[in-house]
Amino acid sequence: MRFVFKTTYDQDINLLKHEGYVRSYGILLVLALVAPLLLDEFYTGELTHIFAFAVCGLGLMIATGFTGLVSLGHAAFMGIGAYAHGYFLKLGVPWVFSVVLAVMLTASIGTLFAIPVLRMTGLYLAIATLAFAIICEEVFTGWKSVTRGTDGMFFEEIDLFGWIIEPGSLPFYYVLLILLVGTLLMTANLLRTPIGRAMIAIRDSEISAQSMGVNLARTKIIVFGISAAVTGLGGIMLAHKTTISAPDSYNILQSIALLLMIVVGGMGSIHGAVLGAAVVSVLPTIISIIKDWLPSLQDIHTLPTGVFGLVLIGFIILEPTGIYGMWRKFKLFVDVFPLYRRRTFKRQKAFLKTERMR
Amino acid sequence: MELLQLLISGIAQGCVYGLLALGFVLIYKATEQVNFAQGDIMMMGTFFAFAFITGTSKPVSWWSAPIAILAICVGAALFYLLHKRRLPAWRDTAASQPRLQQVTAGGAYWLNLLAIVALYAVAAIFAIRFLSGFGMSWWLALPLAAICGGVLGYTLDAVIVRRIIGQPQFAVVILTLALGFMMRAVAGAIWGADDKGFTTPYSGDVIRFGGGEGTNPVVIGVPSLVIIGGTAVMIIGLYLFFRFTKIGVAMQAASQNQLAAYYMGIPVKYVFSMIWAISAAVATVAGILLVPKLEVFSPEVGLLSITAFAAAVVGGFGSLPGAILGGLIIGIAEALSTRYLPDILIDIVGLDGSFANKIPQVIAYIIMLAVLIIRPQGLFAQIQRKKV
Repeated sequence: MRFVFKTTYDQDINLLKHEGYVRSYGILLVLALVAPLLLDEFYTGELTHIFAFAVCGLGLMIATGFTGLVSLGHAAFMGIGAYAHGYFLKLGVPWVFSVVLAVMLTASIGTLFAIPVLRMTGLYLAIATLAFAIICEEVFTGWKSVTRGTDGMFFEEIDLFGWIIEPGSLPFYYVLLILLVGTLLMTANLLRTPIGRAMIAIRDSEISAQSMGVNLARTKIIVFGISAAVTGLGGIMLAHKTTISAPDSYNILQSIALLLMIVVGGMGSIHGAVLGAAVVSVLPTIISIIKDWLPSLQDIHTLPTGVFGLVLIGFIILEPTGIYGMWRKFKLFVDVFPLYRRRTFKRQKAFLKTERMR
Repeated sequence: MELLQLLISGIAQGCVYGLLALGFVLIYKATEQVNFAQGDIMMMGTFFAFAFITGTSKPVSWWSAPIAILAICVGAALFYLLHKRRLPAWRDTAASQPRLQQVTAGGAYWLNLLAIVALYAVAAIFAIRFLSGFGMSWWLALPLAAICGGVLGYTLDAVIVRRIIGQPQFAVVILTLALGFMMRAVAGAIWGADDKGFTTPYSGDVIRFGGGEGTNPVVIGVPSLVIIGGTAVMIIGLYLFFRFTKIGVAMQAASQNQLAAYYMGIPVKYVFSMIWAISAAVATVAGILLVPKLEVFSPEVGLLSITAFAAAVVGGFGSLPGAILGGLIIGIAEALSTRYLPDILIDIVGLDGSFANKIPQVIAYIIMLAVLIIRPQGLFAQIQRKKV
């Protein structure tokens, strides 16, 4: 059990609360840095996939996990980011500026979409984002002059001011790692700003947040813009990883996979987005391994969908706090070893929050 | 006269949307849960009907009937014994907290539940295997599939959805989405992912009238008319049910105020599960009526519910007539825009051909977004602001 003695006020708002954090995140970072040197190519590829997904998940986590704006259509922002990036590249914009421009474009589309839509709450917002995603998917398919329709848009290599980086190479891994770490730091810092505090206040209770002087509409719109931007960046990363961007990769199922990611990982935590991304990326591999063991399952093409559903149901019912919640419980169990009580993590509120009264 | 044909076809499609939307609204009004699995329940029900009508190729063993009956009896008895004390009485207010905690406490509970679910599954498989051994007539399969759909809906609520009371609303949304995935996977595993179809007494029939000298006759498919008629019958039936039967009135009471209904002695849990059953049965009938119009169906037919969702939202998501009306609006808009909108867009607006052809596919969502933006709570609002 660690006792942290607070000696400065900064300690309350520091990113790394005490030296334990420095140590564990330091080890994690070193591991991430040396991973491609130790692992073979396949696993490095899987890691880059996880990085890209984690950034998408973070984008959704900012809106859903931290602000409580449930979005069923975040894959649309992935698509907007990726297609805008590809289009700017085709126009001859340098890679870095193209990424920045695409992310800004995604942010502004997210903001513009948010202005009318965020007057709705809860369910209606989820439906509106769903509709937005469906419309976007059709636009991606139909607007052939920009998106090349169902043929898909190809992303070959990253041209970093003349330095050509092939997808799947060692530098490619580090580019994605840098983007992920940058996004993680950005999100962690965002939560310490007034906007971040307002976000969490809104999630916990809109009425009390409003009473404390939080400007609901403004905060929500900014949050949606940031969330769209981060998801767009994730879309760009994923497009580079998979080297192709087709409307299929931005359908409703993708949006739901994003949602699955943050639920499985753990709602309302940055760790959750990364852990969830790892699960969602690894799950298809696990399924194919299971299929190798049980050849009778080979014919069932719907197995991945079913397993995704099963995992999701299991987490929602048995462990709503996700993998990160499990980890926290385990950590407390070790910390206080013989004294752990299950009731510590009991949910405080166990009644239905009605949405008819707001 | 083409317009009349389009209108009838659109109204028929709209009726199906309306019936699905009715299911959404019934469940939402009562339990404030949004059932995103509605379309997949419809799909499952349609597959039940398909199984009943076409029959299985394998011979049915004689012992499956008694085993099915036995399994159902044992399952029901176990379910009753285990749930008598353990389940929460109702799902509102802090007063129910101690009982809710009782529900989630203890690992043995989950084991019991798993056993019950397994038993139910075995019973259901045996029952369906037995019933689908014959290949029965459409008239028998329709009510039977509706009952099976209803049982499916009841079980989903009683066994799974009821368990996440007290979690935020998105949990229900994700849970039902996941349930939909599961059902799609199960249907795909049992019946395969390719297109299926079954014949009905009126499949392919058409009514022609008018025509002669240079004008085409009006051709109206009987399936569309049957959908419209069936919808009307079901709406009247539901109205009578909610208005005059005891449980119907209890359902109205429970959806207005759960706590007050509970104090009046209404078994709120049971009533809610019955509402799930009703909306599942309605969805099943809608699905079965839709098959002769579409001619084929597959596990993906459940995605129709997203359009039905738009219908429910246009109707205000809390009003039963609104749901039907929303369905009709969406259905007619889809039919008319598919025929006329691409030409208008290409000729007048000057859009690309491939782009213009995509617009009618999303017209439902465009209408829905427009309604949501103009009236954020839908056309028939029922959300009020809490006064503190």
